[in-house]
Amino acid sequence: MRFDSTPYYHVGEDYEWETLVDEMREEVRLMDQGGFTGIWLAEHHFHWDGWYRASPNPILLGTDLISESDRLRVGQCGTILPDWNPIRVAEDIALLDQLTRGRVDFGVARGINNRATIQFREEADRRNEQHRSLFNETLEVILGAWRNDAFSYQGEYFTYPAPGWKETNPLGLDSRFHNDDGELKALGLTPRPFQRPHPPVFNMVESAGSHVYSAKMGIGAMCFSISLGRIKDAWRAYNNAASEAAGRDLPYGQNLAVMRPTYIADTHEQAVADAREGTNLLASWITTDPDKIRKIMVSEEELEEGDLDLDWFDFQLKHDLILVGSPDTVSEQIERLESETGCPHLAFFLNIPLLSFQQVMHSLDLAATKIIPRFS
Amino acid sequence: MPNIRFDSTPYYHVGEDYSWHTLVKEMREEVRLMDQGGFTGLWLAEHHFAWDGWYRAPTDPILVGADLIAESDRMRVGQCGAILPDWNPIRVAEDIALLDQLTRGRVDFGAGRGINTRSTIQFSKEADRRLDPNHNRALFREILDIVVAALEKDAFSYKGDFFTYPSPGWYETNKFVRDPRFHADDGELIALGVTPRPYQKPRPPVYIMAESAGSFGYAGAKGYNAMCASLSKGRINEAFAAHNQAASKRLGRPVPTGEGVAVMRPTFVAETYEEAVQAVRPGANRLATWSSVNPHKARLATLIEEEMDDDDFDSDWFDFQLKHDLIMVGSPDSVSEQIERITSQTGCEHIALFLNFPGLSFQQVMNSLSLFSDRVIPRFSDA
Repeated sequence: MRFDSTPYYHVGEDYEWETLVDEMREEVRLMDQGGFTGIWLAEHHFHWDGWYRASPNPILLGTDLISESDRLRVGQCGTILPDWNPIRVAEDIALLDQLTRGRVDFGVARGINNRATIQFREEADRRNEQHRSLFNETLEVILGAWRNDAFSYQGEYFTYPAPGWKETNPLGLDSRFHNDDGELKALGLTPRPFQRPHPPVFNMVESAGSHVYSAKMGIGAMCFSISLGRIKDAWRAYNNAASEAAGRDLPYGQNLAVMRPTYIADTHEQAVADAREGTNLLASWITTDPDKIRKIMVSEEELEEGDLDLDWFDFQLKHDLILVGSPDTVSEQIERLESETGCPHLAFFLNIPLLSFQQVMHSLDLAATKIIPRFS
Repeated sequence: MPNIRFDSTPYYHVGEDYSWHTLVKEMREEVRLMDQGGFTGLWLAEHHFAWDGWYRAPTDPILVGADLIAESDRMRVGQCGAILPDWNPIRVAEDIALLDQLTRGRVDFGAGRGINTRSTIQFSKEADRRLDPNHNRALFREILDIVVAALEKDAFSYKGDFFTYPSPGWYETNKFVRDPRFHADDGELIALGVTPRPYQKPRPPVYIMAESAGSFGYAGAKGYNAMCASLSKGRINEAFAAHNQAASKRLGRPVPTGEGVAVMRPTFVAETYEEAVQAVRPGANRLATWSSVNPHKARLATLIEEEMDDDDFDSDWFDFQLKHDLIMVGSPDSVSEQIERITSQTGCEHIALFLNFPGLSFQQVMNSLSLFSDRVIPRFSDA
């Protein structure tokens, strides 16, 4: 199994960025030495309240952090496409892919923070339906720019190149890019990605429908907060759709990954004591309707009598929605995940609030020395 | 002799079909040499869609800056410039602030209006310079106002011709996060806070890439620095004076000459003057042909009347530029003389080398940087 991780951002704390940067670099050095394969960085804007204190640009922060490792891959969980200009994303990912010699996993997401997204683009407002087609178009533009030496695009939101530009410099005329009369008919991205034709793409999604969409687009998917039963359903649907799109049977689990909030301590009891309060705090901040969320995360067959009355932390732990415990109990959780869903690729999400840097480093160290070796 | 600050760009192999991963390794090595060699800052340009190999600078100077500056614990990193019409204003502010945190306050934020309309219209229709040129300037200045406000203020709002922040009509649904700095009594979002905040307080220095006295005056009046690349010493004097007057007026005290202004110059140094001239002449002339500069017009615009001689319209482009110190090419001795002329005649105390004469090899560029470090910089530093 492939193991990846996010860094720890001190979500919810008023924490010095210069200390945070040092800590994240140290975490990445530990991951580099500890058998991890990739790091994943989130995108969050305007977190003046201290929540979601990830950086606003996972590609830029990734450029810094990945300079700590010659080996690790670097991804985004995800790049919030509606917050970006499509060309800028395609360029930045290609550039990072060159800087890392092909170690980028391109993670994309539609975004869940409408307050932030509408500051970048009116059409991205999730209060109306068109945000879905905007996401789709943005992704199509990016993939087109990577896959073709010369690309053009005509859509509802974007047209490339902007029409009506006639080349003024006769030295620059090129039949791939210009009509006979010199009008620009295509653009060429530079640099192109190091990986050909482009880095692997992971769509951050939860529902079976979004998994199917990803399969049809020819991209991978990573889920975060769905139960083992829901993962199985989503991945079967993905596999069917991907196989249909490819015209042949594809291996189950290909290009699919799971991210899970993870915390490991020397004993199970210690881990639970450390992680409970922060997990519950995060839930109360994120949602006012935990019952509704529980039924989305867990399938009807998995939901048991009394589940809705459980503490949020206990509910999540019971259904393996978080990986919290000793090296032994967390390994058992991962074994269940592996045997029940066939999961080939697991990413740890470290951001359970209220942990100290030392606790996080110890947790990563336990994962590196006592868990990852069991699965390789 | 004043203490001169020296900065440099990397070498991009402009006009060549050059492998990017070799280029990346070379740029990192150049930065390590600059770090050891007494340079203060690194400047990176922004060019898009360089499929023809010209202007092969990276597309995102902030991103590539984050990579290159990891080679140095000391040097500053700037953009020459971030082409503001090609950016979302919030994204620039966030990225500059983040880079400033990552480098613990070593960012010089450089902003430019852009000269490549073909590229800029792919990002913003409003930026089309074929329309009213004032429109593009207004767009540039509005974006810069927003970026600076977002960098300087914990909570900022903006209402302009092109942008309004925050986007109106958002009511906070989560009562936990209500904050009077950001929300009206009814919960409407009335301000935004860009995070992280910059490391330098209240913000990194701002440099406008400018080529006219008007733009230098604008920069001075706003509290920004300005950097020019292709003005003669006579025109630099005009531009610096405009900046100085505006800055002095803004601060209500006389600002020392040379403060807040900088000059970038295409530079190449070899062991001998002849060797340097021979290495650079074809590339310098080729760059001019490619930029389709109207040589007559360009020469007129570059110089002030008193600087112009009868033979200035007949000379080779390279010779014209060298004669007027528009490029610095020669031996360590002759280039030092050029720097002495520029600094003594204009009061300039901050010079950035632009390394990108086409056709040079990486070895030639490294040798030039090394000669500059060993035999030019020490002449202009007290230490």
